[in-house]
Amino acid sequence: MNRDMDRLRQAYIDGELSASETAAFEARLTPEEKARLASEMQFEIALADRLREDAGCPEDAWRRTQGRLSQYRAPRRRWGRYALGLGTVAAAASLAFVLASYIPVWDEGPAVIVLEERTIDELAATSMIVADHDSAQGFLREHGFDLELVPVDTLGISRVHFGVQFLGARRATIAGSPVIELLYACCDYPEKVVVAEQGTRAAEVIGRSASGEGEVQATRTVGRYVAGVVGTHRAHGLLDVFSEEPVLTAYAL
Amino acid sequence: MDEFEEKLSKHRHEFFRFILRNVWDSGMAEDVFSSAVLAAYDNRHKYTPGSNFRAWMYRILTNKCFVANRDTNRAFENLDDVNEKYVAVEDSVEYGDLLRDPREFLEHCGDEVFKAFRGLSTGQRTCILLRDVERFSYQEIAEILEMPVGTVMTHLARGRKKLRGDLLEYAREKGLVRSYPRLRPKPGDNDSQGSAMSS
Repeated sequence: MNRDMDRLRQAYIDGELSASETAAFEARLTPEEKARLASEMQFEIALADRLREDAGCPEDAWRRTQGRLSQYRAPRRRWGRYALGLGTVAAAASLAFVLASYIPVWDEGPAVIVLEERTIDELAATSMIVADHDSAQGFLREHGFDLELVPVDTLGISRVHFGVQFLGARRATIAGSPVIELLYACCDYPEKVVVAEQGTRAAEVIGRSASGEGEVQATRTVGRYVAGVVGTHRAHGLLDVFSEEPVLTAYAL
Repeated sequence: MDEFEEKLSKHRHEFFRFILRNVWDSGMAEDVFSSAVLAAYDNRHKYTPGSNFRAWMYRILTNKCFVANRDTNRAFENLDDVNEKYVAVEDSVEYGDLLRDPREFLEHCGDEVFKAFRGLSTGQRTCILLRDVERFSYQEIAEILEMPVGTVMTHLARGRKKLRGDLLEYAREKGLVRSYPRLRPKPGDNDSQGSAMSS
């Protein structure tokens, strides 16, 4: 009985009763009860006004979303390391051109770290391995990087963001030093984690890029290496992919 | 801009607001918003032109918010849970202060209003946002959330009760409320007629 009355009262406050139901309900109310219910309605209206405050879509957020939608609409090809074709060749040529434009000596690698690939497809196509955990582990060891990785689906970022996926890995050169780049997708954005040995010029460049000269969002010292997460989407949690305890994590401003 | 993008643009503020008030992190809100827009684009063939675009879109927004919030374990609550602390909030003497001027009361509570709202479960927040802010009917909310109307009403009732209880507790601590005469007659008072609101 009490529960039914509570529901009736709530439906009345929310305007869910028909005209005849409203009239019948109001006929049973004392003036004091009517005034109380009117105040409860005012509370919900005032609460709604507070929740509307300063919560609209920022213009830059809308522009970025429109940009992603435009990109999403562009014809896509199947991604994967076997989807070779003219587009892959064009992407590789673009990458080579961009890298060449950054460096005085053609094989030294970029002086500022950015993520040249702007789509997940493009990034995945550059992987030198099959996109699985064991292959990644083997690739690191093969190139002398003594690091243990944890599976990406166990990372905290996989619970908070969506579409977090390991796309593969590749070897690259930055400022003449060899680096390994672990490739990821996160929230439909391409991301990479660049790893260099401490004390190398690449490690310096990673650190410099985190201070605003490139797209490195955060860096972390892991054992005798430095890792930086690179991309336009905030994905600092990808640095947790290393099983070693971090020594220091720094974030770009 | 095509028709689909025009519809999104027209409602973008309310869609973003709904997400922001559900996930409470502006960075995450933008990611969830973009993800929802792309999901809507992927599923645009499922939208029937002329039908309720807002309701269709809110179904996508709600799913995205649910996924984003699951890490905080604030999913739809178990309806068997009874939070006795908040059952009798309307019986408290300070409730009169809350109802005397609700807008003024909420202004005095400041940002505590948002903190208290964040303390609700995803289900309670979602139902209150869809009902109070976006003005959907119980039936529309039930269709958006794919649950019975009764369940929607329960989420609303419990969410509102918890919110008011938390704000009253805050107001008591800050000395914002004083004891006011109860609006409801105490048992044993001279009230021969009884009322529609008494048990």
